[in-house]
Amino acid sequence: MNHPRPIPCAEWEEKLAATYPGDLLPTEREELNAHIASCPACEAVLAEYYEMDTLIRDALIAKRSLQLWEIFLSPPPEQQSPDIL
Amino acid sequence: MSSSWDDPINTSHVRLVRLAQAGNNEAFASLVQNYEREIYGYLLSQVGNSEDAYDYAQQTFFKAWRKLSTLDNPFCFKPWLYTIARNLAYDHWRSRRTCLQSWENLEVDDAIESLPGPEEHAEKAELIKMALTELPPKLRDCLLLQVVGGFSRHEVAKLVGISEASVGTYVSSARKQLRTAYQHLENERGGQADESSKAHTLC
Repeated sequence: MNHPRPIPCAEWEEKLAATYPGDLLPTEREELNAHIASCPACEAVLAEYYEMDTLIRDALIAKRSLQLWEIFLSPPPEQQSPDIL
Repeated sequence: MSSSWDDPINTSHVRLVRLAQAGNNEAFASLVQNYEREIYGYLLSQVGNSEDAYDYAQQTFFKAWRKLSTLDNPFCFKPWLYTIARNLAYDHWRSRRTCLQSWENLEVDDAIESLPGPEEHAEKAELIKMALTELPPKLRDCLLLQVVGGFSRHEVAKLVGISEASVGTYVSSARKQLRTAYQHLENERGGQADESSKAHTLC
């Protein structure tokens, strides 16, 4: 992510933010892709959003197991930690 | 529109939910193993410190185990789990009458610390975490439910209790504000590095 930041087209901003695969209708996705193909600024912003998604996941999601699952193997949780329930 | 949880690939999880509902604790342990890291990540984004996030993640799964028989539709296990986690996070903030302001006091967490890839990537991830604290809670919640939870706009709308259109607007605003906040932090850090470099040269 280098400076200066590209400025996306205002009318495409909300659709650019919809990085979840199913959040746009197929026709909307096609229109967005067609726009991106001719607009370097929106293309760059979309790339930034995907990079940010990766960074967010790397920043928050634990990389190793927290081993919480082991608690449920034995003995039953009711017996192990009644105060939490 | 397709949803992550409705996808046929998750039918094995549905089978695990049904087994767990029948009292199979090994099946439930498998579900915990599958979701513990993302539930922890989501809670970390809500409460801002690793110790509370771990405690609430544990409570989330205990509550889920205890209430599992009340879950009517096994396909809804994941959103149901996030609802439990969200409620715990809200109780956390209600009891403190405040909301997430900063991750400055975040203790070093072994599970998070070992970020893969080059050092630059780890620094960027740290900056994005700081930038996230500058977002209004509603916007941050919607964005993180999508990015960390992997929920569709439709699912986030049901979880948060707002319209799909509002989720779209919130996520768009969140991304825009996050990008700006990130840029400011990046510039600040760049400025500090320049100052440090100048000072070093002068010495």
